Amino acid sequence: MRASRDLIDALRGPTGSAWDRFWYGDAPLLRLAIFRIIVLCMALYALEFHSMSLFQGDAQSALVSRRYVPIYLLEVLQIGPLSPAAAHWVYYALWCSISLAILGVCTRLTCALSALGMLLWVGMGYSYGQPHHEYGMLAFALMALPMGPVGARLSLDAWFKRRRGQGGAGPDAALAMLPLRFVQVSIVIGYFSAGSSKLRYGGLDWMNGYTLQAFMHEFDAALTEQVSSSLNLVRLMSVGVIAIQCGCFLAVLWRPLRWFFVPAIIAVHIGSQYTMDTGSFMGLWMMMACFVDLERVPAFLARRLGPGPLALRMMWAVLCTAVTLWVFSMYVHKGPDVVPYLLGLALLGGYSARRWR
Amino acid sequence: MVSNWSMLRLAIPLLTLFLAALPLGAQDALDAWTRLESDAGFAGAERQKVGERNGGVLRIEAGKLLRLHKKEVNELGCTHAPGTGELLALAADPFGLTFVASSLGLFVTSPESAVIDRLRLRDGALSAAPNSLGFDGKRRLWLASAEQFGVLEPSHFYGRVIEVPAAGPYRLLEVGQTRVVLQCGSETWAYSPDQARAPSLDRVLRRAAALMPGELLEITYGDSLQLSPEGSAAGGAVLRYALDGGHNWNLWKDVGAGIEPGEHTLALVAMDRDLNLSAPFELRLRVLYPFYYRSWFVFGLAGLLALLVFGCFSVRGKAAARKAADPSLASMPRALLSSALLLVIALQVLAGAIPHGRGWPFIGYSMYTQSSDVGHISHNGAIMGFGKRGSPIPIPLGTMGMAADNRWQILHPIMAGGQAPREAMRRYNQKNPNWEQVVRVQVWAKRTLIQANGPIDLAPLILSDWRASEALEPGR
Repeated sequence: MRASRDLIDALRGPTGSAWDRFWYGDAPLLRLAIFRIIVLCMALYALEFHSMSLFQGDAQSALVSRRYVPIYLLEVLQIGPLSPAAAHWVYYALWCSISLAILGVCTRLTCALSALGMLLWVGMGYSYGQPHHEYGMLAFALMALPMGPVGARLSLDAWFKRRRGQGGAGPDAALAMLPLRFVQVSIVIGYFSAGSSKLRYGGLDWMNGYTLQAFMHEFDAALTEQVSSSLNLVRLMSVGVIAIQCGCFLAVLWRPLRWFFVPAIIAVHIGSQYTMDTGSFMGLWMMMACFVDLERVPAFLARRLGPGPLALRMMWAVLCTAVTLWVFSMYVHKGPDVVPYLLGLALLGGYSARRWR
Repeated sequence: MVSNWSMLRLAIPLLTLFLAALPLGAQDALDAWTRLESDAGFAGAERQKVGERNGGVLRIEAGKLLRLHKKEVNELGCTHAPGTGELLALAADPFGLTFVASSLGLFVTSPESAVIDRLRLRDGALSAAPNSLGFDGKRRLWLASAEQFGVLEPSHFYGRVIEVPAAGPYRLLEVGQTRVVLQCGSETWAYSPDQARAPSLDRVLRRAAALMPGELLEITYGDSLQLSPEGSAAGGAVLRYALDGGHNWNLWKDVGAGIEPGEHTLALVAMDRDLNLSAPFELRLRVLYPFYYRSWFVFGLAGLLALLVFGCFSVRGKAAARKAADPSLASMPRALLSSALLLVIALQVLAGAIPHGRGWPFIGYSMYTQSSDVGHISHNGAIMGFGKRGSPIPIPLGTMGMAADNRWQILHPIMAGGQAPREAMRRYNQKNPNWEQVVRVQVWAKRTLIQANGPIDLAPLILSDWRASEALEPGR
């Protein structure tokens, strides 16, 4: 399948222009559907994350001084602050639209509504403080979803279609690559600008180790003291950060590099969480799922958890369990508790249904 | 022959004219100073030993600064490359720091730090190294050097040099709650601060027109404010400002060009020689976007670009459809989609090159871009609580249970006093009933010095101090 190949391969394709082959390739519908669910779960996370801010609004409080300073988008559209009561209504409406989009009911429409709603919700949350990077990529991912056939798999729309005998689509479809490719490009632009701006403003001195030490000591994170005390370690981390951020575009060009860059970028964020108290930035690095062949993950795991040496199978089982619990705990820390449980139930149900069909 | 009455009639107006010609400051200055008969009974303000908040004791011994705490004696290090110089005197800050006068300048330390750190003093502070120092009842740090006498604000390090009616060399003999005794050569003088009338910011002019408090000023981004504030204060008014409720009163200068678009508040105060601030004169500022950020220009330009790009994709699509004999390549939805993609990607690239947070989601990902080197000091704002035993209890900002995006949204109200510090203590104590209860809360800017052999903790800046027993009153 054209879009499953890396960019270099795709650009050598025989038909259409490079632009068309890059953006409008086909891709596995299952991959797009899983990505849709991941993005929308993160939308629920972001909805919960900003709820306290919007419910409190700029109500005068003895403890906090907050002013509504709208982001540029809200300012040019002349959208003022939501009252706490209106914020509650928007919150419930967004819960409904995102939940329907996860379930795949009128999928493209509910995805589009969720995208617009979350743009307003997160933008307003940032207007009470300062904008952060975490949910910018989520906003782009949400806006990209309706551009592709996001409801063709793992959705009630698809189920109803099959029941009506209208037949399902093949495993791939045109435009299925578009949302995934758009998020990949957005991620690459974001991280490249992060790395290049460090070199642009800070110069090579940014990697002298003292710079990262200075940043770490502006916070009280769990590992600030331990990590910052070793200059060589901090220097290595500095070089690593620049190399990973500036080089991540290579993951779009050549697929095997994703095995390095996807975990590397996640490691950068986890590292900053434990040394600079930046927060998990889960809303950002979960979007790296666009680089993963999500539809192949079950088979990948089945091969490693099934036949083979026991020690290796145990190791994979422990690793999978640990990663799942770690992501789970990070999600419920700031996001809605119920979502991981529901997803877990849905996965079990889906697996059981396939196994006993 | 001139009679006595004639002389009196001449003298009275002349005397009146003479007194009226005296500058107000000079008259105030005279009122504040009293010459004392002798310097007997004053031990001198060069204390060699002070207690610390945690029960430790600092003392100067054989040219070193030693700390005795829990039966251990340690010598404090120094971050200043030339060293400490000759250590002359110590002063215990009511907020918990210790200031050290030395021949090489003014240093500071605290129980959290194993070093003394040389302070970089700001506008108005003594230019020479102090030989004696002490705190008064209002937490002002009085300093004397051989050539100058003055006062320092101990959280932000700006100060005033005060005119002395006698020649030096100067040395502080005593710093009391309401009086400072200064040795001036062979004479002894007492200075009583706060005797003159309170400072006032009399008016603020803009292009020769007087502004009213609370008035709204509109400027375009990059323009200057063109303000001329005028104040009166003992010793001459020094004008200071704070933007958007900030805690740092900076020396006044026209800051218009540096203010971001949006709504802001500007507070102006006059400061007298005793560091008393007048009531603030507040103005509201509305900084407008330059024309190229205004909605009509942005939407207009975006619309034109979108049309142009759409046109290009349409033409290109039709040509490709003819060439490949594939009509689907010429579809309008595809041309629209391609245009939208190109524009969004271009905006992301532009945001990456010229980042601005307010452009979210086109935010650019530039952060933590400035490089640092050895000698850099990192600051970390925090709330520090204290129990009855005086041990520091870090209070996590999340304890407050309020939505806050950056720490200063919580720290500023606590610094300002009133309900906020009491509420902070109450919430912490309620959440932690089995732990030591907090009865005092301070706002700190913790400082860490980056050194070649590893980061080192310096004495924090202590920006405010509030005690539960004093209700709404400050802990001073």
